[in-house]
Amino acid sequence: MSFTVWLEGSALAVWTRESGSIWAYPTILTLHTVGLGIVVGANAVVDFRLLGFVPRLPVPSLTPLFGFMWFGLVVNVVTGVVLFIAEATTRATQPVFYIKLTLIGLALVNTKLIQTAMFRDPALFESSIIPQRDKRLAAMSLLLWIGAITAGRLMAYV
Amino acid sequence: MEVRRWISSTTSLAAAALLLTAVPVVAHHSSAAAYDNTKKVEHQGTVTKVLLKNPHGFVYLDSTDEKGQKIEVVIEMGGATGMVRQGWTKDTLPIGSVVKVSGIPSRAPGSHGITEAKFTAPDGTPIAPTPRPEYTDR
Repeated sequence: MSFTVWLEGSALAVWTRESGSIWAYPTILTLHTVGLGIVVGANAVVDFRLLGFVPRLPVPSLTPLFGFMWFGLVVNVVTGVVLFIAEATTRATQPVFYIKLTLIGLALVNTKLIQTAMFRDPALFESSIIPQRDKRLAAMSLLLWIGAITAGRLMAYV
Repeated sequence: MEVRRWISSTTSLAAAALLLTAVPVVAHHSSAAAYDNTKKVEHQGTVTKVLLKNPHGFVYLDSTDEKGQKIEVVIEMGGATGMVRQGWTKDTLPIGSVVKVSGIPSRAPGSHGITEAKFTAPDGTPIAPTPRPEYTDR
């Protein structure tokens, strides 16, 4: 028996997939969307600021947002694993699922690079001039997260 | 003053959003992308498989097309959450039973998918729970 078949047969997977409870699939999927809002929302605030929007907002004051991002990520890893095992055999064969995971992985590396830059040299961000490298990272971050959301949404259709 | 107005408008928006969640799971996304809701099809066949699962359930029928060729009709249902709440069980459509189904056809050429399905016995007696009528004619 393959691993994905075993996953799909687990009690948690069966409950998520087949129960009539609103605490099963509907709640888990809703939390996955809320987590997405927190992760990508916090990222978007930092990205837009680095790209020059809302210049009155001091960049160093945004550093607590990274805590929100990692919190949202934990929510989405947990709910994402449950949603995956509920349909492991089909999800594991969907190319767009691997595209989504790749984009999330790249986006997280990108976020980590932005976080490191902002913490390493806060003084650099005190001035209103954002380094070109960090503007490029911010633009890349928006593109990667939009791509990840798009791939995730497409999993329901392709 | 401004804050109070903001709070009251936000609260009414939230209330409206909650009301919208009363729309059942069958309506959680439009079926129009994959199904042609300007058409209606009907099949009669033998139930071979019933999947009561999220995010969508499926019912499979062995049937024949107008030329007498064997076809498999794949009926996309709402999610298990909604189906179970409407009264579906694994025994609602027993494997091997002969049923009639009507619904809107899949846009995929060569396929025999349908959705927004109504099930009846071959004589027309309803045999499976259907979504509440106010949500069916979209």
